Amino acid sequence: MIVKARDADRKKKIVVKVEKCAGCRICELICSLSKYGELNPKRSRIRVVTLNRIPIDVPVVCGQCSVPFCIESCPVSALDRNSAGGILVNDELCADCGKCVEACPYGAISIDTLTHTAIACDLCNGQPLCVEWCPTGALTCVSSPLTVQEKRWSTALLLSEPLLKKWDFLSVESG
Amino acid sequence: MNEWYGWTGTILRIDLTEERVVKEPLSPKMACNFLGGRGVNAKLLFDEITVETGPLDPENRLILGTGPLTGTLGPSAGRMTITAKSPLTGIFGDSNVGGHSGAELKFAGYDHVVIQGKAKRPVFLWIDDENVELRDATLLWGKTTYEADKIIRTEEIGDMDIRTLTIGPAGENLVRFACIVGDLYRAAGRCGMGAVMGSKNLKAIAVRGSKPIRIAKPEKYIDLVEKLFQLVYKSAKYEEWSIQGTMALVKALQERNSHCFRYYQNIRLPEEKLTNVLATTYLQEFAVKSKACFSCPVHCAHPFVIRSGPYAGTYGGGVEFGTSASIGFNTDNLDLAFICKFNELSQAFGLDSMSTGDLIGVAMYLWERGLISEKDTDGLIVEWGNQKAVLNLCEKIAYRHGFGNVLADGIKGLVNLVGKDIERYFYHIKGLGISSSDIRNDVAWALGESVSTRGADYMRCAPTISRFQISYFLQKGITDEDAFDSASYYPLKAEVLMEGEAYSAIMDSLGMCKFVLGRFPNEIPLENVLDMLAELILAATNLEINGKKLKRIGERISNVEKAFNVRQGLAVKDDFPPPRAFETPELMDPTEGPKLDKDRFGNLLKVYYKKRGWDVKTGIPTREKLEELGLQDVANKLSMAGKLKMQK
Repeated sequence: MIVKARDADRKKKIVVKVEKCAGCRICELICSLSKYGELNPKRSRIRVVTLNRIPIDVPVVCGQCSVPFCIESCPVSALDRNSAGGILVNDELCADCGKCVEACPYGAISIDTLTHTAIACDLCNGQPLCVEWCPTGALTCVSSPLTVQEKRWSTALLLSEPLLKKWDFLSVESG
Repeated sequence: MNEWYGWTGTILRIDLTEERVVKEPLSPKMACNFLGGRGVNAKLLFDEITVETGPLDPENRLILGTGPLTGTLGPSAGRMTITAKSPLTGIFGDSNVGGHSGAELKFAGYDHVVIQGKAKRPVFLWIDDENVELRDATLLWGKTTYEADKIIRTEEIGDMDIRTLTIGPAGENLVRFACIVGDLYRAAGRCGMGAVMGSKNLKAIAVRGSKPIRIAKPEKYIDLVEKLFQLVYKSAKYEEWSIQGTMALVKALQERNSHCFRYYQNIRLPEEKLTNVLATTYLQEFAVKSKACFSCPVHCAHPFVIRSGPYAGTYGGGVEFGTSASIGFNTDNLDLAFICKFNELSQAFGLDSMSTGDLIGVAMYLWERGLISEKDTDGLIVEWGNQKAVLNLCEKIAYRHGFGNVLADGIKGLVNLVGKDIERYFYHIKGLGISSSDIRNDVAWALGESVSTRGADYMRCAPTISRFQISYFLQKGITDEDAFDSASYYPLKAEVLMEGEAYSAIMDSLGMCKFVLGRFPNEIPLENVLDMLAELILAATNLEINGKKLKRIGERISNVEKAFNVRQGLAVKDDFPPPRAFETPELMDPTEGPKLDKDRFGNLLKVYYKKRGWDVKTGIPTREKLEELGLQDVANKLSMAGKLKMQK
């Protein structure tokens, strides 16, 4: 494929089905246990909000925005995407300035009170454990298929092929 | 143990009279011998109060106990036991609660909270990690649990994510079966723990925890938990229980002939009304989603919304079988919308829905016999099927108005009103109402309810009985038909009961739900379940333990609770079912209805005592047994109380 779409456009994504969430918080537990070897929901990258008297539970997790406000807002470039499309925090660089927290419209990135660095979902390198452990199917991980841009390009190439020959162009790649 | 894994290693002690907060270390010996939760609570209560301590005296303790696995990833590992001398029964009392508050307490850094004394004015306890303070609750006093929870979250603390334990007007007014409501929709329901809290002028406990619970071998632990989850998921019962929850029991108990229709006058619900109250009806018409306690893959609760009819606008966290039977079947109101409404009300007032239903059922039973009338009930027609009267009484009980003031004191209130003669009608054991399913049809079940250390209760053993019974007998190669007949007095049933009791004590002390592993992997014998739990505890805490040792811990806990009741003056007669259980249910054909046989039951009880290593004649634990379990101090206290001979 000639076009290499930004990872951001084809990344995996955790999709939340709110009506299925029972509020057990197993996602928070497996997240903190696998990342830190200890149990602490407050350090989990996914957090379940319960509306209390209204018994609705809502898991809030990074939505892998196409325009990642958190990454763009970081003044020291401590945030980046990993190959799976998750947000990667460079603890060495992170200065606890909180710009990413301010920038994220969803409250999905926070500052760890212990390490004073950003906590964001790295999608467990493409195999999110919260999704694997969710008992109700409220969490699923979907991988975007080809991006629109990619599809458009493959259509364009297909349609151009006869012309390449007819007009004696070299291949698109070498051009 | 120099370093704590699983446990936090800290007990928080609050003296409300002195307004003093002390952090005490959890002794490793205590943790090894009693694990945590119900076990450690029981020992602390036994040690710290006396025979004379009145349940509503400042000296009574209100003890919150999480277990070493509370707050960890694990099948429903988020539970907590609340323990005190019960104002309803006057004996050992505790109640287990799910939700998220137990786990939050662990994240704040505490295994147990011991509350003693009495605050000069209404207060609430705010536990914010290491910062613990008593705050004024004058403005919260009088509020329902829903209102109190909201005010604490919004105005007092300003954090919607904290966890709360609250009492309602019932607890404030010392209704003897007031409950403590956790996270709005879960409750430490039984034994009147809410009244103990109210007697201390303690309106609520709010918790915020942000500390870690450390796991000794995280990778191993995740591995083991994954296996347990798979067991739960693969169990034949999983689908039914995750979709229907405890409401599945409505159908099951009709098939097993164990319902409590019109206060135990018929073991079957009327066929024509059965569909009204089936789980499938509840799910279709009222339930909207699933709701789980902390770290539970089963999510057995199902929040409801009522959209039409007289109770439109009612909503809540879910209706359970226990509430449905106690208030619906007991009073002949087989109407789920009404049951939902009652559920919402009793929760708001902080009343144990089971005891409330039980008491209103008794009142209707007495009314039917002309033993009480309108002049006793402030003009209310306390007749079967009168929904208005039930809802009205619920409020009257919570505020101790009129006839509600009589019922608020439990069966003692009714005896004072009508006379001692009516005692023979109560379907109670040790002062606690039988928990909403009849015992006449199932001897093992009856024995379990009868010897339960907190009064009539199947959660001390029975979620497990039927399952253990079958696998236990099969495992031992027993094929006698008698063993598998629920109406038989097969002596080995006493042994199976002890297994179930040990299992319940262990789960309550670890901080896990008894239903999740007790119900689901039906195919697994207890020994294997205990071995799996032991492995899990080892990976979580580094405590060297095995299934056998665990069982011994369970036995130790039962013995301490039994000793508490013996010291309190309970005797063999208190381990018997109520008189009516030895007669056929009133609304059934006397030749067909089931009944227990008193002599044969007495013999089975003796078998149970003998297997327990207790005195067969008195049911009192022997010194040998107590010493063998490392409970010399308990034996000595029983000696001082004149219940055991002095040490040679």
